[in-house]
Amino acid sequence: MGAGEGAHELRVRGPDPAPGRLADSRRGRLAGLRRLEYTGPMRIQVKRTGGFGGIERHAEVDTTARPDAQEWHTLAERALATCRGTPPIGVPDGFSYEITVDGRTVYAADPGLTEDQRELITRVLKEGS
Amino acid sequence: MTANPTGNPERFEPVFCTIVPPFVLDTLAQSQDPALAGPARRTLQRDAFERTQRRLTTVIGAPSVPVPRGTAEGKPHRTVHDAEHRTDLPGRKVRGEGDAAGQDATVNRAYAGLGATFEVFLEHFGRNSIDGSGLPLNATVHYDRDYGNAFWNGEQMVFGDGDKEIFLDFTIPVDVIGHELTHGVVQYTANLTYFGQPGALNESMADVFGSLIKQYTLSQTAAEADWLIGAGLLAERVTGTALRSMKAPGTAYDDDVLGKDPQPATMDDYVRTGRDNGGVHINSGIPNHAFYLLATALGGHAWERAGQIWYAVLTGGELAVDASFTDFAKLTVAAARERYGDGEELKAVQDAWARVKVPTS
Repeated sequence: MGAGEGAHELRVRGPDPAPGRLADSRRGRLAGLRRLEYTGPMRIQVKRTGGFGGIERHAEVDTTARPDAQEWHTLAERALATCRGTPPIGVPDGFSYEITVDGRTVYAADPGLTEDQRELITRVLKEGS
Repeated sequence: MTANPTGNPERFEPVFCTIVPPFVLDTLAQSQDPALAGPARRTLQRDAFERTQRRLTTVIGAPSVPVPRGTAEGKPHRTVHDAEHRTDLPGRKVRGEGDAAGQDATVNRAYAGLGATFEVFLEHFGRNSIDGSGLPLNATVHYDRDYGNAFWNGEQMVFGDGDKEIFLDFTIPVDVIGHELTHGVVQYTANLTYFGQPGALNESMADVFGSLIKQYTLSQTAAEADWLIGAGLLAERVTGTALRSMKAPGTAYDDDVLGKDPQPATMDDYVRTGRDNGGVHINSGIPNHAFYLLATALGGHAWERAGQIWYAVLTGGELAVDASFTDFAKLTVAAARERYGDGEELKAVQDAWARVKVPTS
């Protein structure tokens, strides 16, 4: 998938950030939306806590030099698009998750994950180190 | 292009995608700038909604199908669903009450485990199902792919198949099934907050009654029981026998991948942590061990006297949602005195708490 295609975007509503803080392509193509492209390496960390066993797991994926970096970036952006900044109240024995992308952390908990969050978490815990 | 090798924290603007403490959200929600106020308000609304839903479930009961007409009083109303490796709940119904066993051993184990749990609560504690009023028992199996967990979502039990590397099928140990259903019983009774010491008490209740259900199905006395939680759940390559040991907390596993069982047996080794909801699965080792000490001191079937004392406190109305270990311990002493007078039970309760270093006076 080429950079800037439909699936790869983070829509940000509101005023422009300070110049130079965020790249902004195809300005004005979508009224009220700016498309941001991330092509640099991305560090995606997942920490899972709680669960019936109370056993922690963490793993991370650094997309540097990964041929599928773009796919990871797209997935990470989607997963964080519906993110929340405070740990949700979990259910008894449910897993809690912290997803950190380049130093920014968001929280999620079972069974309230979005499909993108679930996919990202599963892939990082499986393929990450 | 934003090549961002330094991990510039501005990358994930806007603010609702960052770590935002609730008080900051409150401030943002009042902002004149709709770009700031809107997301903050939505986050606060979503959080409030989830909290209210959970509270409502506790107060008015989980939304559930009415008890089918024509079913006998004092019988369970079980339904097992199959998530077919997806995450939509409850999934496809695969076995209802009275249906014959099918080919799927996981479904059959869940069905049998629900029945055993129902039986123990009814016959030995006089409780008609989770809510005390015949609540239908619902379980979903084959949740997600390789999902190494089981949980109670406030309305039903959910079981994963395990990743096969570390965990096997979560329906294998009957005490795990009993554990999850007991979370439901706690929700409908003391409703202990799932954090810190009350959270560890919530976990311990689930382990205690989960273990009692296993002991009941095996007709074991306290001396005969293994007092393990999750025996048979760990894959062959894991060095360990179970997930927790009520008899010897901290000894259930010691493995290269899993690490070592972190449970303390006494307050001397109490673990202060923010992880795992403030260590709910860790410090539960302390009240777990107190129950084990009491049950083995009294002998016989653990549900007969030790279990009755614990159940009386759980359902007696005096156990606060934010109860500490000490609060709980004192109530067990009072319950033992009320039920059995100044006998061996009272002394055994006091001794058990003394040995785990939780004061009762």
